[in-house]
Amino acid sequence: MSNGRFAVIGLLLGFALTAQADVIDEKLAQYRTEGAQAFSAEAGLNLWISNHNGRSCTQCHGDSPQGVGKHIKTGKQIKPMAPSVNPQRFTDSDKIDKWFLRNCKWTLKRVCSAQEKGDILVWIREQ
Amino acid sequence: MNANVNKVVGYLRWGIAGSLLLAAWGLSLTGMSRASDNYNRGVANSSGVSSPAAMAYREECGACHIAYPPGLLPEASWRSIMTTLDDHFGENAELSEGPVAMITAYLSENAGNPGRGMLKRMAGEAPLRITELPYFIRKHDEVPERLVSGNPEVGSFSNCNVCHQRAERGEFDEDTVRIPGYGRWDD
Repeated sequence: MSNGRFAVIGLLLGFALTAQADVIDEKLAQYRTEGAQAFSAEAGLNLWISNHNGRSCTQCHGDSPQGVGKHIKTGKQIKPMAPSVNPQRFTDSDKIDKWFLRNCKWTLKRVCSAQEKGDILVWIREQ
Repeated sequence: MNANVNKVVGYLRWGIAGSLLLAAWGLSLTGMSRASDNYNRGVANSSGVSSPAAMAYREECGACHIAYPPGLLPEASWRSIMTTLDDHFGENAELSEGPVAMITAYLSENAGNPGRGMLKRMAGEAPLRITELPYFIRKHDEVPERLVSGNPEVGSFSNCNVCHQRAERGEFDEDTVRIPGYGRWDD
């Protein structure tokens, strides 16, 4: 492969990562205006792995955010959540809203607070 | 004289039998094309290009399960499903208003014909589960439970595409069936 191609791929990956950083930062700023305090990656991890009356994020997403998940009911594959292996994640603000809404209601039987969503994002962006 | 009459009667018999056979063949052909029309409506247009609404359907609904061909349920069923997404068979599948309107229109436009094909004798009904249609049950009644709920790779009849490899394109012919851990299915 020529150096030119490397440069193009590098550039595209760079764009994807920048888009991701931008969108996550934008969401964090939004959550702060909704009353969230300083975000904690540790709190995010705890929320991700803890059991909420028999339900947990990991039941569908798998134990590692770098791995492929499997929908607990339909068996459909879920691509990795970790940006390090799936740069497409967290590049679309509407998608983040949609899946937090659906999945918090499934897992916690309620919507997540701005604080909880921010905590998860600051943890998962490093994965 | 008599021999001639017999000959004529003989020709007539063959003629009548032949026409009946042809008519039956014609009927079965129209029946088949109707059934398959019902299955693959809205899946792709003749040039194989998807409309934005079809893509929205696959993106939003196909994220969790196969994007069931719209022709498998009548319009009333789809409308009911699309207005109860917050409790979608026990799951939350809420969408914002824009995609809901777009996808509802797409599903309604391409819904199955009530009372025809696999929705025969169901006119006026709005079933919510494809797997509970009498037609579906009849078509799968020889498939043993161990190959479906007892098969970790299948799990449920709802996962059409695990065995019907071209389900998302609206193709359910028996020769496209491969049951994981079992193989081809011929009954």
